[in-house]
Amino acid sequence: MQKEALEYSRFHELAVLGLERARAVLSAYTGRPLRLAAVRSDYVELNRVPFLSGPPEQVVLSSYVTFSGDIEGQLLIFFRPESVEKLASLLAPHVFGPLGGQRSAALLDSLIGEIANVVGSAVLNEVADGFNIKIVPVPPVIVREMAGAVISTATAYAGLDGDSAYVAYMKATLDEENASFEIVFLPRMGNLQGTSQKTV
Amino acid sequence: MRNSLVVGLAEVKWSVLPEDVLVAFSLGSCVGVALWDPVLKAGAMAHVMLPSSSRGRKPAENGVDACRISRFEKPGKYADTAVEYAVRCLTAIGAEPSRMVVWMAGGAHVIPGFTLPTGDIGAANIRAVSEALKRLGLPEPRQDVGGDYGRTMRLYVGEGRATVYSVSRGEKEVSMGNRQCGKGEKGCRRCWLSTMPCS
Repeated sequence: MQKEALEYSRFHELAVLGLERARAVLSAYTGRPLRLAAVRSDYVELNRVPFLSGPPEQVVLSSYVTFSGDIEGQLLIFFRPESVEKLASLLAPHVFGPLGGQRSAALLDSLIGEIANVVGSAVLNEVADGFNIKIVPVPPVIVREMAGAVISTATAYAGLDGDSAYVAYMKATLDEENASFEIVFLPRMGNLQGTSQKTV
Repeated sequence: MRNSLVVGLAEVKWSVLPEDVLVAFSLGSCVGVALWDPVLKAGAMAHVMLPSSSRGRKPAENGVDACRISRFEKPGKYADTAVEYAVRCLTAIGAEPSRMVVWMAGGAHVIPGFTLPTGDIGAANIRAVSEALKRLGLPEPRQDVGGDYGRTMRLYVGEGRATVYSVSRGEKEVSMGNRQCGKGEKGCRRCWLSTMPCS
């Protein structure tokens, strides 16, 4: 149990380092400082999982990434509608800014997919390097749906034993809360313990 | 004054208070099952996450039957144990399974292009809940299942009606559809249910 806790703690550290790297990249893209507002990881009771990123019925644009390899799991990034517009106008002002041209849902999805790629690859690479393991992510899927429905479905896909899920939760904000996104990491339970012999 | 009781992921809750509304928020691949006894005006709801309590388990080395949920798991997590537990909650206070009104919602495929090697969990949950209801002698459910969108299910305990809310479709009652015999024959449970105040 102690060993398990240590590995989850290391996992948490690495995920935060990865997010820090993603933060630097996104700050450079937008020319504004991106801050990590909340970072925590713990076992969460299943009945609380749909409420992790706020009201479960709130519609969000989410990016869903699964990964396999030496560990399996899922990485979800939630963008609230008001944040999506703000982030989009900062990242692609020529399209989504006040003087921007034609906007489309497909373009917005593509932009969100790019942010997910930057954040997801930074976090997963850091975890893979830190544990000296192989992690293979699949390209992100963009979903517009109730936050609770997406996260509870992801939890069901994880096929967890027991009544709790190990979750790493992070929130990044830009421009004093006007633009933020939340990252929920659901590594599959039991996978991390198997990585210990590969840890350097 | 209504009082909402949230039925969280893997939970089962029940009530006899007429002001209570049992709510399962944001069902994705999960399935919400609601039961209501028209005589007692008592209702129960389960928020089912996975199809079977024997899913992916192997018999334990000590010979103990591993096809039961462990003491660390809630009965509402799996379709088979959730339906059984919800029925037990209501029968313990005198409800009759054969006269219960049953609703089922959820089981959607909300993440496009992603399916487990074992298949679609939403569809498997719908099948498993239907089988459990049948096995326990409960009437066929009124249902709003499948599709690719999330739903919130509510059971109004005092009124014996259930609604489903989705972002694209708004809130609507979960109806029986046209699956009654239509002749009002004695013994046709669906026709009998259609005469109940809830329908």
